Amino acid sequence: MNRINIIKYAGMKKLHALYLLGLFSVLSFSSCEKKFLDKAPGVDVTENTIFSSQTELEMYIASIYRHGIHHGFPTEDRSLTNAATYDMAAGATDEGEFAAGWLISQRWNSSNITASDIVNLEDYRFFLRWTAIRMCNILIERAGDVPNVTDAYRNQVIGEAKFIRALNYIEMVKRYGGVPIVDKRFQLTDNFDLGRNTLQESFNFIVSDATDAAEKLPPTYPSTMRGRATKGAALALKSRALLYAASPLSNTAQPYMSLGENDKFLCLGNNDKNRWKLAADAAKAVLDWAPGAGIHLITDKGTTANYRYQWTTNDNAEVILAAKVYGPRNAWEIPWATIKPNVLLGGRQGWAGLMATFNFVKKYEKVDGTPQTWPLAGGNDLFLKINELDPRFKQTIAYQNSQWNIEDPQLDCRTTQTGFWMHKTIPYELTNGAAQVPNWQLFRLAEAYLNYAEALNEFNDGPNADAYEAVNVIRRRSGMPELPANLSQEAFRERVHHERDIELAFEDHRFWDIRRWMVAEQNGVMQGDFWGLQLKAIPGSSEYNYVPYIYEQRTFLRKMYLHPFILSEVNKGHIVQNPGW
Amino acid sequence: MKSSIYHLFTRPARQRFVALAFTCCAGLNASAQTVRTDSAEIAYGRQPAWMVTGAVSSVVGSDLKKTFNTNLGNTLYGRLPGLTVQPGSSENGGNTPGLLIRGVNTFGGAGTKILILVDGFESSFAQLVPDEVATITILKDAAATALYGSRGANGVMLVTTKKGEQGMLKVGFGVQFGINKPVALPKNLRSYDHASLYNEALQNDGKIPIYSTADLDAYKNGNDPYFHPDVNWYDQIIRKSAPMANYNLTFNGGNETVRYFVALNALTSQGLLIKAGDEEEESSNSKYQRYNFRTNVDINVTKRLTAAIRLGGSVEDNANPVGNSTASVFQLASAIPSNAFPVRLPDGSFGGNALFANPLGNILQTGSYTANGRTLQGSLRLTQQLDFITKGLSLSGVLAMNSYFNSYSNKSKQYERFSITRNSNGDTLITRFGQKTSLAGDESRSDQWRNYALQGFLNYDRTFGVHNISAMLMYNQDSYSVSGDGMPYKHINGGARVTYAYDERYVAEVNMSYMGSENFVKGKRFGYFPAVSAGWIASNENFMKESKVITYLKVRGSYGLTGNDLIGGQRFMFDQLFPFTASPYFGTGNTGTAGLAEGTPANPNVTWEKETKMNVGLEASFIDRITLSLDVFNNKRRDILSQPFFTVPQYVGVDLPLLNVGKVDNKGFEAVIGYHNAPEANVQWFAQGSASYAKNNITYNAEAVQVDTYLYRTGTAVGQPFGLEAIGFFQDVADINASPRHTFTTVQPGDIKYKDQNGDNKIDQNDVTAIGKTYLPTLTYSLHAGVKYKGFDLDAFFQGVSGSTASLGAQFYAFQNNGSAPEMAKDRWTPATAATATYPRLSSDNNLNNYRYSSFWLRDGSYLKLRSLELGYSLPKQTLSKARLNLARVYISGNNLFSVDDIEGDLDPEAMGTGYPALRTFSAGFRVEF
Repeated sequence: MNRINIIKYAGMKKLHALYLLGLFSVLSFSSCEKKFLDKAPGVDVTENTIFSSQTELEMYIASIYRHGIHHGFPTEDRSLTNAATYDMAAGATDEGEFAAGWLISQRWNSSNITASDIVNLEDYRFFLRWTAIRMCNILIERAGDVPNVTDAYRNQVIGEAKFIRALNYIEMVKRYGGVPIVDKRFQLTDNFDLGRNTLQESFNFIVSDATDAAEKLPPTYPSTMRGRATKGAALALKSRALLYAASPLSNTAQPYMSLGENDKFLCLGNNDKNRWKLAADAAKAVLDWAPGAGIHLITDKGTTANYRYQWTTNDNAEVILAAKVYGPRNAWEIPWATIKPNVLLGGRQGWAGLMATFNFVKKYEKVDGTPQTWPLAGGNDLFLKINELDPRFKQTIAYQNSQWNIEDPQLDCRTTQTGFWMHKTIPYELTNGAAQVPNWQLFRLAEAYLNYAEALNEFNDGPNADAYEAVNVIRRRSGMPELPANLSQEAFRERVHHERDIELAFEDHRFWDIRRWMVAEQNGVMQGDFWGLQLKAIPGSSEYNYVPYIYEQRTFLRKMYLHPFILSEVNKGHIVQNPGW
Repeated sequence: MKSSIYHLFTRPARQRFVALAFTCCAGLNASAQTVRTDSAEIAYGRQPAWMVTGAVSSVVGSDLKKTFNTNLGNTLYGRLPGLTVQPGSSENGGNTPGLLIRGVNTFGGAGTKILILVDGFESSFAQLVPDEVATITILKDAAATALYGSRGANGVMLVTTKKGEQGMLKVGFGVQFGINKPVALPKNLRSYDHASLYNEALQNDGKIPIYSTADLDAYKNGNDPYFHPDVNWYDQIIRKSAPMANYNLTFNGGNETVRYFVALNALTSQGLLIKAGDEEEESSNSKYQRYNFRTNVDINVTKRLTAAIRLGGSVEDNANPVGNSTASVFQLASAIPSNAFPVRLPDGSFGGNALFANPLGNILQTGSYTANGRTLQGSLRLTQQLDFITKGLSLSGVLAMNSYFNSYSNKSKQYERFSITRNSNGDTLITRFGQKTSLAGDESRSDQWRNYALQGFLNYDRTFGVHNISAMLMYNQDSYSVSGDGMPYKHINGGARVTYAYDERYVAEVNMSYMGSENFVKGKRFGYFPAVSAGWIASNENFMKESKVITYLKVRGSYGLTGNDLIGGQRFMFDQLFPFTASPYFGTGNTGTAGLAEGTPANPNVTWEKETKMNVGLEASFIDRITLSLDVFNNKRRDILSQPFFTVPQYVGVDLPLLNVGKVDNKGFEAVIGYHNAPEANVQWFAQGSASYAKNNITYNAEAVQVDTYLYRTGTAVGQPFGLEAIGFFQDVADINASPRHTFTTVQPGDIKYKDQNGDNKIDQNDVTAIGKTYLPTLTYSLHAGVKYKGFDLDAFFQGVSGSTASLGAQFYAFQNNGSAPEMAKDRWTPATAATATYPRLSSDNNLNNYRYSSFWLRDGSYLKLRSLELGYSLPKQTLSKARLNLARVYISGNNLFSVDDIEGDLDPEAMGTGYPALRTFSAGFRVEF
């Protein structure tokens, strides 16, 4: 049938012409295809949107903080990563013991660590960190493109990115040794075969970023911006990095275990005392900067309350930077739920709770500065012993009949394996219905004093007056006597390590300190007997009977001085695994 | 001239075969009523059955009536060879079961959903009633699905509603009453057993038993219901049986100009929960009501112009206590130890404790939840014969609109419950849990979807001598919006089909479509999906024509390309976005902020999955009694979105976008064999067995490099479970010392021992390997048989599966989270029962070694179920004609009457969870037509 015929027929019957018109109109929808299938304008944000205004950029920076700032509380941040941790690192040190078998610190205590699930065992941020570093790299690359902002602001955001990049690197270096340095955004077509950098290069990168950040960042922010990195935070980060670099684990020609020609991933290749000088200078820089930014030790609440005020009060004058990853959290929510004691009164128990070990409690000196004696056979004078201790004990540890909070005015520790609980980090005001805001103090001024004292003692082969003063200022504000004069380098080292244990207890230092000092394998640190107290009421007396007993044996394998890289990454062939894994 | 119509009329035997082959499971009643012996539903049309060269199966609506259920999806078990039905919730108004055609062919986030079309348009079908359904047809191979382009690869299901037939008005009225009972309920230890076994568990863990001998005695004697309760919570919250009723009224008739089918249906079904609304004003009875209507009208507007109007709808009302779904209260009932607390305290208040709320309290005291849903399906089709242009040419245009809306009106409140204990002084202590609140209303929730579609067809069908040519040119565009998904899903599709048949012996066909989806980048949006097929009706060859043995024989084959645009991943993957993410808190007092982070990088080449489907089929009938149909298929799916993990190191800081690189192969067959005796025999009977088998295999999924090769998912089936392989219980300490170290927790005798797959002398996550089979069965089979004698008819339908694994979930882990323990825990390992134990030694806490996914907790998921059994009696014709009736039939029927399987106790292998139980239904009804 030809076209002329169609027209002829159509002309004969108008009705049919209409149908043909209908057919063509249906088929003509094809030509509207472009519009019909195109994606309608949406509210999607692209990279160019972000770098087009300060408002959008601030949201991007907020996200960098969320991805890039860690904290030491239990985490269940499913929106960012599938892994979670219900532990604090203290449970895998001689500070503490979790009161539940399923918490992963138990696996550290029995050396039951594998490369295949390290991200579930401690380093749940492994993947997140690389994302944060990439976000920082994009910001550094694009910060220049943002129109209509001041140079100071531009500098500040670049400083923040460099600070967060450095923070994520020191968090990796203390776990893994040398790691790949990624200082630019990868395009998906780039060659990804980077491999590990040496430990020296990794430290250099951190120090360089921290130094640059310290130059660019402001000393303070308005109160609405607390939680953003300041100049002091960068200086404190630099101090910590250099202290780690100078410490025995890194500052050596012989790594803890050999990796052959790849030893440079594990250690710095020689023992150079000058690294302690760099560490001391960096710590001093924090101390020098602090007064100008209004940062100082808390000393005005009384010697039995300064310490507690410091850790219970968010954003107090001693805090240089706190991780603010949570809003108010209820008593039954993470992070509190797994770390508060499971012996609290009915209905308010935690899932587990972090007990303090007797190994740790024994470390507290008496208030006169001499060691406390705890008879191995036990005694009938628990409270007498406790009352003699360093005032920081009662501000850190929950013990028999101590007040947990107003709901639990008398904590009963008789069913507690070790006899003690960690109280520090859990606010006294936390009760059912009274949610509290967790702030994790990443950097506080006391650390800088202790870094300074430790580094000076090592560099000068003994303590000088500045070293003494740096420790004593910490002791003094908690009512403890000054260290005795004329201590040897070894004796002072022991005292400053000890001071660090007590002052920075449960603040995510011990887990790393026992590694960088290479003492984890020593008996009583992470090896051998772990002690608790069995407690009994004494009829007719307000005192309690206590008997020390061994509740657990722990083991520490030498390979655990550094973490294993997650096996799935090693299998990709770019990363050399640490020795022993 | 030899027309096809002529042939059909002269070949009754062949027609009968066709009836059986295409309405494969049609019983006697069905074949007596509505089976069209002449043609079959195919994509966008119908074809004479002999001409069909694709793989299709269908079932008639009357067969679906044999399952009395609120959800039409639940009537499809085993009815269509090649269709696997995976149980959804049995709850009224609950989820439609999962439907898969020839298994699964894809993995990851990709959609396995089949395309379901009601009268040609995408819509829900679960709310339809069997009385308004003429046939349900599934399209399985490339020839049958190519016209659906990038939506056809998972298979297509065509639901066709009834239409009016020319003739006197026929009125049908049917009533069916039934009761639902749970098939099985989880069985937990009673209080005495619970307490004594819990003591044992504590001792095993080195802890002090908490139940004294006096406690145990009290549990045993049951004379202290408040302090030593023994509560079976199911007895408290569910009824013995829940009634269900259906009323159906249909009108069918018409003349040359107008033909109509009208159906009205009312369905009510009460839930298994007790009538909470009768007891408490602020609660609600658990009930579900649905009213369906349908008006299908066909009009001959002029001699050449016809209009077909399909209009159907439903209104459903659902009310529940506890929540919009009541599964949570069933889960709670299974989790509470029998001795945890009494139902009520002496003063009538509810029992409870810190860990568990009171299931009865939850039902009575947490308010009422109601939902009102509406479905509307409507389409208008105009067809103009264009034989003034050329004979056999016609033009159609169709407009369809379908929509669904569900609104919720919930009133919730909280209530107080109390624990009751005695302290050491013998004082009674009562502790309160929960707070009492007044009803709070919430109407903020609603769900909806809607779609519209526009279609145009140019059809040509003409016979020249022995040559028959039919052709179709079509255009389709549709848009589907779902609340919450932002932008609508849209498709444009142009297609063509050309069929050539020679002398009813040889058939050749080409189907093709050119289709685009909104989800792909401009320029890479459209795909071409061709399929070729051919058939040979050997029994029409001269040398076989007169055969009395082989009365029908057809061989057919098809090969073609189909697609699946349900690719998974985020939509519009070609755009790189910076989505809002979790953000930190800044400022003193921690104020939340908004955060924007880099999203997954764009994949500018993202495309649909492609599948080549090959199918070879055979249809035969022997001595006019035995029918056989066989299909063998080989599907190869490509371009499945996968995460290319294998080389990209994490330090890149961003995951590569999902890439179209995955591959799955899927092979299998369907076979149906049936027998029926002579239609004129006194005792008429038939039996029909069917089997469908599909086994898939991931051939590439870009997975991570593994040291231990058994960890690779490649080479296994989609959904293959991976877990530890249990090899018994530790017998003693020596056994533990001699075995690889079990790293999950410290083990002791009686704990589950696992196989060290990689020989590293420790058991950890690297020792997981493929264990058991997939949850999806590889084989589904059915047996359908019926007998008719005088007025009596009996129809039985069995369905079974094989090649699947069922998993005993966490509810079988004794004392987990201070919860209940299953009956099977009685057979736990103790030193005395070491030889016969079937359950690991008990543990009072969440034992990380025993209570983890392993082969220990897997069971063979095979079962054979009697899905329906129906006995009916129809009044004889003479009696009927006196009463001016066409039909009067009474019947009793049952569904899910029994199951043969390998699972302990009377658990249902299809419903191993603790939610709403699977249902067993008994019913009785009658139907009259006049």
